[in-house]
Amino acid sequence: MKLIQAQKIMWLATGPWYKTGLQPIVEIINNWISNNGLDTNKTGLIFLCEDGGYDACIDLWKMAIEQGVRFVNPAPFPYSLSSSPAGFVAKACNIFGPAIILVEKENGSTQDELDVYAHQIFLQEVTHLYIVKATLYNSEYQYNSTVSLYTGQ
Amino acid sequence: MSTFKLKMLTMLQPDSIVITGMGVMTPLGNTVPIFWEALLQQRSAIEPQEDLAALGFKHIYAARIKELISLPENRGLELAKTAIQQAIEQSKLNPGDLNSVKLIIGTTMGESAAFESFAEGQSIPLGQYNGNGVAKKVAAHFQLLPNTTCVGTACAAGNYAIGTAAWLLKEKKYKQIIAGGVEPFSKTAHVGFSRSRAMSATGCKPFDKSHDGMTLGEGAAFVVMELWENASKRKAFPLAQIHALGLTCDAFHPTAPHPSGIKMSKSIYSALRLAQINTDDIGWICIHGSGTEASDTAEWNAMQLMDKKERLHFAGYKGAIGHSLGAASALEAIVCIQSLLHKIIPASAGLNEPFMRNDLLAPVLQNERFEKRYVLNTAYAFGGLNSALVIGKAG
Repeated sequence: MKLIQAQKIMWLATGPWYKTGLQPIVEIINNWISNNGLDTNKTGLIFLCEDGGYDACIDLWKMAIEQGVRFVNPAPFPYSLSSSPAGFVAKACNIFGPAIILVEKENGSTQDELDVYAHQIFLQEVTHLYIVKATLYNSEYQYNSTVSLYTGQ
Repeated sequence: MSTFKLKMLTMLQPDSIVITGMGVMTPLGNTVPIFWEALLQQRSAIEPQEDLAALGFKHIYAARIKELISLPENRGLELAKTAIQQAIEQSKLNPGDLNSVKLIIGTTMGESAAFESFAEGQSIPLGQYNGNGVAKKVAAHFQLLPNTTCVGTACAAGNYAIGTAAWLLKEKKYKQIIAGGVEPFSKTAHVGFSRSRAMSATGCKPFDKSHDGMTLGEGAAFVVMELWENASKRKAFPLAQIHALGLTCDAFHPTAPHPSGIKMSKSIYSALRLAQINTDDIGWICIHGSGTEASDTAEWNAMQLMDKKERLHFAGYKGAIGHSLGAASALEAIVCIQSLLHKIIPASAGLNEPFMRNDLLAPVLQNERFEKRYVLNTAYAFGGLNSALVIGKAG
């Protein structure tokens, strides 16, 4: 696989990502899609993030205790899962190919293993692959991410 | 050499990915034979839960493992350890060889009880209790390779773990990989599904006319996987083969599947294409079958879209063991392997009268015999994650 573009970003949000979104990541990917004329049916995603579900999971249980399990607003629930940031980005960018979520720190998986996953994703009629590495939990809501775009050739 | 072994050698290639060990922890039994027998007897572990009633939940049915005693925040760890121990024993891996074995765990939340304790004000290092943390602890317990992987693909995580393990083995990155899924019962998930009005009042009945939602479960299921060239050298018995994992994403809604089932169907086609087989080669589909109207309908539509000439049998087991989220499709993969070994499809749990009809889609209402070489294990998850795993006979 061949790296086409990569961008490192940091942003300060006004609250947890599940309330404020992942617009900086989405904007980068959507720009690449339009600039390169990519067919989103043929794009895949590998999302590495250890803490994507933390805020929503904690908030949901706090609210369940305060409001009672019969009355709590379930809005945070979909974002309490480790997979939720990847699902958010896939939906916002219309990524219809394989999406894999690895629960790990930024440097958890070896490049060797990521290459294998990418190779197998490219075998599934995918021409372009995004690899996003993100940290999405801290009390200051200061997030960072690296977004990369690869082709299979 | 026995006839059986000769036949095995002709069916398997050196680079075939074989399963040589399996282990489970389920609400219906804590070994593979007990679990399998309970499914054949069409038993269900779904029942009212006193603690959920005491907490004030409207829906109090769930399927839980009664025999396991552990600290709440280590329940996933203990479930995984017990299931993996069984898999290691069956595969006859030498304890001295475990330090070259990689671990891939699929899970939704890791130890959700730890996150609940944190929300209640306890000081807990969360990184030790997410899926990655659980994987590291399991690897340390068995002295496996420390570079574990955690696949956090929610309710389809078991399929992803087993499928990605096959990818790594195919490239000869490891000699053996232990892969599967684990999920302890989660009160947070019970709140989420209940308040999202996705929960069944009396226990889930996937694909049945009276289906009214899902029921939560818990469990763990793991397999030992390796290349046949390696397994044969150490005289390990191949239980089944992993052929291909097909993946797509709906990119449609945070929780609901796309009603058309188009992308689900595409994940199935991708798996069949990579395995170089077609729909009529499949003995049966182990459905995701969560029991909600939205999920069952999308899945039904996906199966209708499959190009087939023969009747396609399907069955699901969340009506017996509930939905164990990250462990679910790993548990269902074990059912697929057992069915290939015994040539029996256990009756679909909770399904009496199908909610839709199609002459080419045959729900398995009673235990049925089958002869085909392949089974398809499908699993779908929040975020529109779709997966289909082709599992085949070893011999």
